[in-house]
Amino acid sequence: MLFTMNYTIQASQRTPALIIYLIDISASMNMLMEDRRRIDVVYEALSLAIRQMVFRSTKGNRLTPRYRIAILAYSDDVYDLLNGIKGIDEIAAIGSLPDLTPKRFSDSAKAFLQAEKILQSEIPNMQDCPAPLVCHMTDGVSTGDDPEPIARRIMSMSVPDGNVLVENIFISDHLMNQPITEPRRWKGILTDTSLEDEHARKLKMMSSLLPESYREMLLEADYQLSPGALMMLPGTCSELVSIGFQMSAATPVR
Amino acid sequence: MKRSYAGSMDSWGARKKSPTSTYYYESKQTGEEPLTRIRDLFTCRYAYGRAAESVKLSEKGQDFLAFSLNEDVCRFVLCDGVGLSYRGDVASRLLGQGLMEWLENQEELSSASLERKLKELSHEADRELRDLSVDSATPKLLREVLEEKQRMGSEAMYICGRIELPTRFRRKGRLWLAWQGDSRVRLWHKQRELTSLFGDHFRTAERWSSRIGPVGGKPHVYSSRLDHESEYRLQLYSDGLNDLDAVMEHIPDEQVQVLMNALHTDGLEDDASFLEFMW
Repeated sequence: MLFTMNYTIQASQRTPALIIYLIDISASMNMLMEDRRRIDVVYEALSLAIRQMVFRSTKGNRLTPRYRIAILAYSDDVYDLLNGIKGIDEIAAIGSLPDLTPKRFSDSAKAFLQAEKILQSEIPNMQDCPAPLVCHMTDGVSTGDDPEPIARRIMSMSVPDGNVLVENIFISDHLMNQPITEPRRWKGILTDTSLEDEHARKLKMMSSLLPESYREMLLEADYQLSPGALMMLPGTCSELVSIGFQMSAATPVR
Repeated sequence: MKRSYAGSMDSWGARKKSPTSTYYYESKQTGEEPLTRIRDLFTCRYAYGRAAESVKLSEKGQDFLAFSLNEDVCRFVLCDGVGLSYRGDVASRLLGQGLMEWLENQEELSSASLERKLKELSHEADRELRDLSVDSATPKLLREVLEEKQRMGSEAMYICGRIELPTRFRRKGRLWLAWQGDSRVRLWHKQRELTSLFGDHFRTAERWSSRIGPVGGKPHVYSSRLDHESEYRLQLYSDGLNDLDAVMEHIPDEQVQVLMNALHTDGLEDDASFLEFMW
């Protein structure tokens, strides 16, 4: 078998992409962003990403299960919102995502651990599939164990298409030293971009390099991320949160 | 749809004769066409196959292939419907049939007249595609996405062309080609590949849309005179056969069929069309 490691395998019915969402539902997600609760902004962005996957999975009038999805919401516990991995066709048949209700704490390590378990069981059957992706959305410091070692272990797991990708969307007003005024022209967080917040710096260490194939898909959607950008989005406005979720669905498709 | 034919045809050893002077082939999109060889003034090979997924679900292929051989002139079109657009199978068929008609009836082929035809075809196709409806039993989210795609239109990539051999009444022949998209067209003369003559203009973002005609730029056109020399080979194929990209030499019929069968991947991963003319 050829080990290409370049994230070019296309998601298809026979080789579906696996995306695991880890969604922080701590109490702070009740705070407002552009006059809406952060959790509502996230819900809308995630719904849009699901819609985008449906868009990319239709051939003729039929929806082909090119994506498989798990959604783990976490607070002090982890809640498997879809009861396991579901095909995009099954999610479309349900019609809408389960509600996201903020709770108390924010134990991201537990969520990453559960994602690791899912990947350990799925990866042996995914050798011809696109590299799986874990998309983590949070708005604050983890209250449990340090998630970084687990994220690092996840990033070292691989299929021939490449290592498992980890993306982080960090909702915060104090992440960048310069505001991002034009999200569509923004070049992204690079390895040498300095971040104001200690937790953001940790998340940066837990973020994969944006594969070129993903970058090209985002360019088609008119987002100008530069080569070398990391899979990390500062959620300072709803559009950037949305770009983050769109990034998670940018697996190449046939 | 095979209409008529005047040469000899080899399809895995089978040989048939037909009394008339024209051969016309049009892919049905609902079935496979094993590699077929025709020998006349042109020697022609063609094959058509659907992605394994489409075969399994009895769906139409999104490629469309058609050509006609009429004595010393041949006309051809290969379209690859864009899977992410609304009903790529319909777009490739409407575009392919429209272009074949244009190649048949247009005396002088030119970039300007092709552009006009592509625009004209978009109006016709848009009307036809708008008449298609999404099943009311379709889940809401899928229905919304399909309706959005329908509004955005249907798209296909294409290569089309005409070869006119030199004759007693036509001192110089002509090879005329036009394309948009990433389907492949390659040319050899005396076993030397001349494909670089077409330039680096095979881009996925370029295509025809039922809503606006050419997308991503104008059609690319290549035109050259043909003298009485022989040993030319013009080969066209869609991206479902991209394994051929690395093959420079003539590939035997059996090997083309092996690629079309794609047993190593349990069938084709994408629709595949193959067309080759030798003269």
